[in-house]
Amino acid sequence: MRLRTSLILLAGVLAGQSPAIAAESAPLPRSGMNGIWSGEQGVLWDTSVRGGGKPRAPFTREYAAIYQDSLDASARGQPKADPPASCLPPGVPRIMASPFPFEIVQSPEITYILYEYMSQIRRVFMTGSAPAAMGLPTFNGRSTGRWEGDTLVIETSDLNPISVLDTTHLPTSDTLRVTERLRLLTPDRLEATITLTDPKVYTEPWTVVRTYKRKIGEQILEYVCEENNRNPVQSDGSTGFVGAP
Amino acid sequence: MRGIRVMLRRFPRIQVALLATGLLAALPSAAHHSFAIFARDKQVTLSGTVKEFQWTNPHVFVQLVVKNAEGADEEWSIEGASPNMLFRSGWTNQSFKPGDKVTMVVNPLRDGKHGANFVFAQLPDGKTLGQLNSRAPG
Repeated sequence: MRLRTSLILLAGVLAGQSPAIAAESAPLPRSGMNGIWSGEQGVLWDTSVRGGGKPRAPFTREYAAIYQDSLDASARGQPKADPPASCLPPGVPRIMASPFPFEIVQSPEITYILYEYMSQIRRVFMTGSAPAAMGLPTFNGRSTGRWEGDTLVIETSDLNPISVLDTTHLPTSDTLRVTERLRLLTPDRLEATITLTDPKVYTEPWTVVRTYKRKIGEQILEYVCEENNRNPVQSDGSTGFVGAP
Repeated sequence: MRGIRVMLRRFPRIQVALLATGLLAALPSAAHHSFAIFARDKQVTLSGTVKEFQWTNPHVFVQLVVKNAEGADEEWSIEGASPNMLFRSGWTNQSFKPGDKVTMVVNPLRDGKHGANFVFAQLPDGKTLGQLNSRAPG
């Protein structure tokens, strides 16, 4: 860590003025997280995977087999349809890997995350408790948030196990809990360290780090997936394609 | 197949290579559904007439009427990314108009039906149009 800090400091000196140094010397204000952000790592959940490699998920034996089935189906050209193919929400945590921007708006009681993707809204309750569970799993779950210094920590539970993490069909289960740690790296760059604890699926918690760039002058646009979905789920569960009439 | 050979002459190899990098840039559109239904390793060139441009979520579609080897009309459905994403890279609801004569490079459906994933197009004015970096090659 000391070496890394030194390197950051050195880079800062070379650059003349470094946001990293600014961040270390004076914490960025919590309100600095407000605004419109766009992901930098694309839509595959495992940000370490490049060029079709396998995710480094610490799967249990059962879920390793389930995931392999999905990969095999894709290799045959019959990819399993994930919920968004039917225009169902991507859910937490996948929505944090959306290719479209989202907007953070903070009020004292609730932090709102407003996503362009599927026009989703998340409410993170900052008062210590989320509304009572309805006794049914939900796509975005129940989220509570708290500040640890300059880091916004969001804990989410009661998630719908039909959600997958990306189009490779990385599975989730009803034991999933998600911890997101959001902090500003610079005024215009946001980092989310996202830990999935899902004892049925993983043998240990699995963490990925994603970053987001502030989109200045951007607007959140409308995205209503049901408008003209020509990739409906087929009766065998694969992804369809509606051709010319 | 003759069409493909003709088009390879019209698109110099280097241009094809440059535009093919647009494929990677187009990956974010896979947010909605898997693109494994398309043969992503295969590129087919289609020359024809635009019948309809569907500027709609979750994906835009160009309905393209192409003459097949027997000289009969075939209607292809060419799927692109979503309007929000394409709008940010310069597309509009006028990017394709009915009657436009265009040439498209596409990844065909793996099941052999007349559907495909859009890679890039050559427009009537000779400009090329990609998806996420559409301004660059044009």
